Amino acid sequence: MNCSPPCARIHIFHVLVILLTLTLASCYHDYCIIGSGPSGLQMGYFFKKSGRDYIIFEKSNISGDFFTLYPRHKTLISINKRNTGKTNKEFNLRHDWNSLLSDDESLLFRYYSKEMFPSSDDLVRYLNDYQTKLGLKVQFNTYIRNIQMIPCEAAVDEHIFTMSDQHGNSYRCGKLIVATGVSTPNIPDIPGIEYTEGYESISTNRDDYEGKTVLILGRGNSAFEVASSIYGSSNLIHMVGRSRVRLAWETHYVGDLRAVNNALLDTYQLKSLDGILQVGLDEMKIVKRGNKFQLQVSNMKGSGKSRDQMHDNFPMREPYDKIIRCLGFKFDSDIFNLSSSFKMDDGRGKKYPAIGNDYESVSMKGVFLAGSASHSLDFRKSAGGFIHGFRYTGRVLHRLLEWRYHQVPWPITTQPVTNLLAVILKRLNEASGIYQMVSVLADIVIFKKNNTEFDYLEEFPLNLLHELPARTGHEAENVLVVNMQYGEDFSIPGSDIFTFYKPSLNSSDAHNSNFLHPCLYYFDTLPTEEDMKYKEEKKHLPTPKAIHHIMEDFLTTWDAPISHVLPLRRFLENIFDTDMRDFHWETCMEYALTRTTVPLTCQEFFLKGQGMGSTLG
Amino acid sequence: MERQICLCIVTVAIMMVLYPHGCTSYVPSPSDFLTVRVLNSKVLLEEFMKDPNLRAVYYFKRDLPRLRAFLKELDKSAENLKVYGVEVALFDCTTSTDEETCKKDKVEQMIYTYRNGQKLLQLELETMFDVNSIMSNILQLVLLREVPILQRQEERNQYVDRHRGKFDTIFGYMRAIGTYEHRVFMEVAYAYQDKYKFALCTNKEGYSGLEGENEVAEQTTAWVIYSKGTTEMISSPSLRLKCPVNLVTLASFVKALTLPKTYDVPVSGAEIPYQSKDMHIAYLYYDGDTEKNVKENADRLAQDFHGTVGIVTIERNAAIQQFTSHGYDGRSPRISFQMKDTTNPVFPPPELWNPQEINMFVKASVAEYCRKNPGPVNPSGEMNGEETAERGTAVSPDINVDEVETQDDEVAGEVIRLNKVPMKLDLVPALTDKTFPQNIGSTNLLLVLFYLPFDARSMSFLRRYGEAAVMLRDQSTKSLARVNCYDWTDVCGNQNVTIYPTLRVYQKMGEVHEDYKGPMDTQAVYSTVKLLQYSRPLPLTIQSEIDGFVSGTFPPDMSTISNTSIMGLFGKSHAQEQAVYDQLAEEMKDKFVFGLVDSAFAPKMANMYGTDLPAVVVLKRDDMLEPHVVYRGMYQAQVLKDFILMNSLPKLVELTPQRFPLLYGQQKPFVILFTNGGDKSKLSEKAIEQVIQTNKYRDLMFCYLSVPSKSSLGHRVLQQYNSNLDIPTISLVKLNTVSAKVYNLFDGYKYESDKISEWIGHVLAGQEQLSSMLPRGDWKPLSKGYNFLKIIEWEKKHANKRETNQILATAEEHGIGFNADGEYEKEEVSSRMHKEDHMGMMKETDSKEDAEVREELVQLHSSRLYHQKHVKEHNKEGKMDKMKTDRKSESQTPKDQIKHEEL
Repeated sequence: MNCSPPCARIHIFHVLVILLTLTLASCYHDYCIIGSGPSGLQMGYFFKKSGRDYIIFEKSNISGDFFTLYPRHKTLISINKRNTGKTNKEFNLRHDWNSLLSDDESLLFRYYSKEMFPSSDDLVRYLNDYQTKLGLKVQFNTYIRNIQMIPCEAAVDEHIFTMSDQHGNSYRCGKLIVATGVSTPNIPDIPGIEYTEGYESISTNRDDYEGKTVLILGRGNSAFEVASSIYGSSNLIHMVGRSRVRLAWETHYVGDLRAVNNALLDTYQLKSLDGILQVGLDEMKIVKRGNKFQLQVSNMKGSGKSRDQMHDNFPMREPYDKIIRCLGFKFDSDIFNLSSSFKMDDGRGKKYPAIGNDYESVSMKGVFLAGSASHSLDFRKSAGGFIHGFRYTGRVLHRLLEWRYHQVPWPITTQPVTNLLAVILKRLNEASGIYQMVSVLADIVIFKKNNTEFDYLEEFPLNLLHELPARTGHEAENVLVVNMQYGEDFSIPGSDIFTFYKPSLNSSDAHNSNFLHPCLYYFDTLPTEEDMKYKEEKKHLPTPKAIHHIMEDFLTTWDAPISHVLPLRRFLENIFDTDMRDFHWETCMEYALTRTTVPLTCQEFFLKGQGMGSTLG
Repeated sequence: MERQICLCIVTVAIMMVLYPHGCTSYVPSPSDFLTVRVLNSKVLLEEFMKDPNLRAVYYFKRDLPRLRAFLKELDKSAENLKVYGVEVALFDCTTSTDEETCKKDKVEQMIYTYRNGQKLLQLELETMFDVNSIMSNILQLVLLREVPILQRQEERNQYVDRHRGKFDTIFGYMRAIGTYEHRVFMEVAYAYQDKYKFALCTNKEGYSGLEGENEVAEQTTAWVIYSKGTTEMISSPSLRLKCPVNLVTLASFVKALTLPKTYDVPVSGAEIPYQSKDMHIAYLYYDGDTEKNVKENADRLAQDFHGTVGIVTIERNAAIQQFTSHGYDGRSPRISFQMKDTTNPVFPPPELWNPQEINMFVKASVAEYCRKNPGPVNPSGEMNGEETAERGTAVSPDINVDEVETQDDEVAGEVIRLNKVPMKLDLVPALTDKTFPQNIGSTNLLLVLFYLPFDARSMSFLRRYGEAAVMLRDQSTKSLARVNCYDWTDVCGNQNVTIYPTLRVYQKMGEVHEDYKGPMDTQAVYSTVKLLQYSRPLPLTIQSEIDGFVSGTFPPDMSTISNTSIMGLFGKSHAQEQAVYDQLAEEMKDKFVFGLVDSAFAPKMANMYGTDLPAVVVLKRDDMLEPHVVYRGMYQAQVLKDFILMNSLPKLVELTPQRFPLLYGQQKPFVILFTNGGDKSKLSEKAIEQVIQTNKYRDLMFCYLSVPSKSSLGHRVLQQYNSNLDIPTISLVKLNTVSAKVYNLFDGYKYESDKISEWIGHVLAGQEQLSSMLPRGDWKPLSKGYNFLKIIEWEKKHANKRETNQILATAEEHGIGFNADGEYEKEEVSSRMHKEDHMGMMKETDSKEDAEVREELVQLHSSRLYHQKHVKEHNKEGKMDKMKTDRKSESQTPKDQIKHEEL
């Protein structure tokens, strides 16, 4: 731990501040991570591995405290698929949604639970093992508040951060990683909200709902989780929400309603009293009628009447015994001294802080968001709000920081171009980061030395492509992007995924693949910021020089020699304008004896004494 | 395109398994089929099978939407197959449950074929996706004996020899069975089966040695192999069809082969046989002085263009009189070319006459025609003009599925072909994350092949690696292992293996390792393992070891490893030199065995080699000219290393792929003796050896390349060197330069060392005439692949996805080709689906031209059948004996033959 002040030249005012903080025995860390949940621990692991000066502050006395309470009925909806039939550890992470990344193989969630949808207690046990086994520095019982930016010319960002905990201890940090998640219950400001009980505090004892008529506000996973738990004891359950139910199997977004929770859809549609309604809560009010509660439309503007007075068939005209709020969570920006200056995202992602594609807060330089709180970048698109997504975006953040603050370039492997096809195939068939963070992270191939060599970068943020050299420390001109994507119009709520669907099995029709499939973009020059900004709607990238789709595959294994590999080889050949076929040494020798040049592979293998004869004679 | 239907079938099958819903029950009824018969009872079935003609039966077990598309194609095929005597039936297993075949496993995935009540082959539905594939597969079966598939040159030669003196052979090459081209070939074969012998191949080896084999470029093509005219067992001349294969070109080619090769127009005038035959015609004009020369040239042309161009010779005055419209200027000798479908010939410049020029002229004219009239090469694929016009002017992007998805990579192709031949990997343990560290940590030598199962090079090497393990099986400790980098990506990652395949040599309990850089070859791996097991250097302490080392019997396996060994001779005072030697022994440990004599035997041995201590001797047991070379330079590692490498090969070395890289890397001109091992070749070899022994040309690589046959590598190289000289022959070639030059030795000099030596001197002095310049290799991609940018753009403009979806939705409910009422929609839905899938399903709209030719072919064959039947009947009645028939047909004039054809 480095406890010396990092600033060499300090203004008088700041001297006072620093003196004050020093007297309060404050310590300095290059990186302060707030929150010892999954993303905080994950970041801690990367910082520890790269030997950085870091500390994790945790307000409670345990890692993953959120999961001691949530989900309220203790069943996680993240998949714990322990067996895939494969031994490939990278591939297996594609189907393990709970483990964090580490070098320690015992720290895989498969060893913590045998349940497909495990208990949250197991996750808490896992997270605490992760922290202790890897020796991550966590300072427990430290509730960070009052975060401020203090100018400091010597610091790279020209400021550092100060903050204090509930005991009055203060801390100073170079960079701040906010990994506090999205954990503050969202309580809308509508009349009568005080009559409701929140998801965070309701009883999970189903006997308490015996013979009760229940209204649930919200129609996300927590709402359905509550409904599933009590529909056997309640009279009936009504659910209301602003928008239509978004089923995860339609949208391919894991945060939408999951089949594991949707039992109530059955009882609603099979006319068993339960029901789901589409109402915007901001137009509603809750009124108390004796022991019961009623949801009513607020007074209509100007009329002085409420809508229910106009329609005697208002669906929620009968009162409820209980009204339960399950309206989700929001980011807690009160940790900042001037919370109003900390910018939140607009629109759909308003519960998340506004961040750039490098996970840095748009309003506070040097503050980075990790974990669920960084989900504004891919809300309803990818898995960045969940462990199986943010374990990768955390790694991305760490790599970006390594280059930005320590001049450690993004890790690459440099290889001869004759190996490109094999490397791409390997990644397509095992890579978990680009598989989980679909169309958010992608692999990048940077060509160099007149296309004879390439650098392979894994899991780079697609939206930073135009800044590739500045973000990674690798010069790049012509690049190939290896992306995984769904068909353009495939992930739409309300679409019938079981309709007659002709999965594309013909390689020439691969661009019409609906399900997840690889897509390669070749740019002969890096796209500009402008290109990125004005790319076509629904497109992941600006129009490249050439594009190659590899058709979707039922087994998500892209290794078929003719249908997958051969068209891909032809695509690469056309990028390089070179025949990349492999030849037996007899053929290479013939070419060498009869031409002034030989094909690339003859050059690279045969003429270097690494040829191969034909076994067929 | 055709694949798509098949794939679609598979898809739908998957969908059915996953989402079994929404299918109305479907029982086939006769009304559904236009041609296919529906059999409902065992009796009918048995009767059907008994027919002497080929019968195909599909056993219908249960309704699947995918089947409907197939049955529709089958019905169309049945109609076409009828003319070949083939009938197709569907047997309804749902009603006649007692039929045994119905109970067989996977019966619904097969078409069964019968003749005379005998079961023939079963054809898998997977390979029958459209009319082309169904027809070509069934026709192949009909003509199983008549049209064999001969994939090797020897097989082809045997086949030709079998029919020598009786028939010419039409030999086809196509990239795959079941394609449009295959169907075309089979149809023509059927029509002409008693006029010619037919055979085909689908690989390069099959057509090697035939005329113009280098021009094939993987395009479907056909040859006539002339063997009817001679009974002598000589290699038969062959002639390639000069246009791309389609029904029109192939049928007219075969038809025209029956015409005379040249035709001399009588002064009195007569109909030229080629005119009615829809052929190109080349007119060659002569007068009294030039007649002989012109007719010779005509014969020469005929050799190259028989079947494509009719060669007509005509006296100049006759030409002026008979062809007034031709615009002939009365000169002779002179040539003109009349393209088919045109009325007048085209004349080249009057001075164009020498044989090469007129050949080029005709060739270019034919090529121009082919280019202008590509014909229905494959009626699938792009939309025809009408449809394009309907949708706007844009042309659909070029999607050539066959071109893109036909494997043209030798190594990947081999992997696929050998897929079903298990690798011998019992002796090569597959290591895991747990066993890998244990294994490398417990042995002094372990080679580990890191490979990737998707990588063809990896898999090819793995197979050879397994064979090397078999060669090494007698060893007490196993030294070969492997890691599958897809199964154990972590193991490969930890070992920093990023290139596949990587063969890594772990030594000293895994403490040191380095990557193997040698050939991916069984023998090479074997030798490497053996070499690595020897001490470095290997002490030779007793006389018998030294003698054995020199003769190649020590170490014991030496003869199986290498013909070259290195021996170091050092005394007590040569510690420094010996250190250099030791260093090289380590550096080159996988290449040679380094023997060390540092005892009292050392000076004796040095003396034997005419040198003093210290000494390094390169022993070459396969070099008669120079069995050993003694190093006399300074003891510097790099210098000595280069010396060893340069001198490790014989002075006159056989050019093999194993040695070539080392020779090529020396960047010296090659003197190549092309030899067939015969006595004459040996004479030349002697002469070359004498040149070598003069030591005059130390900066040349002397080597020989064997030319055992016309299909050999040596022969192909010779052809490229522009040498049509008899074997043996000698060329000097300067490779490795921007302008690679070839000089061929004058044939008369090849047995005389003095002349050879003098010639070499002249070549090096730049005084000899160049025989050829080697072309630059043009290593561009063979196929453009799929240009998805263009495809997407085109589809955006033209395709109505939504409409497709609706059609597909209907198809889901009711099966492909059925409307919302579950009725079979003859036109609308299916044709719309065809249109939607512009690159998709095979369109069964053969061109009009194709239809006409097909009709003609079928008529021809039926007429012949009728003719034969007629003859048989006559025979029965004793009115005409067979001899007579044969004699008659032999005495037919060409004109008669033509009439016979037209019957």
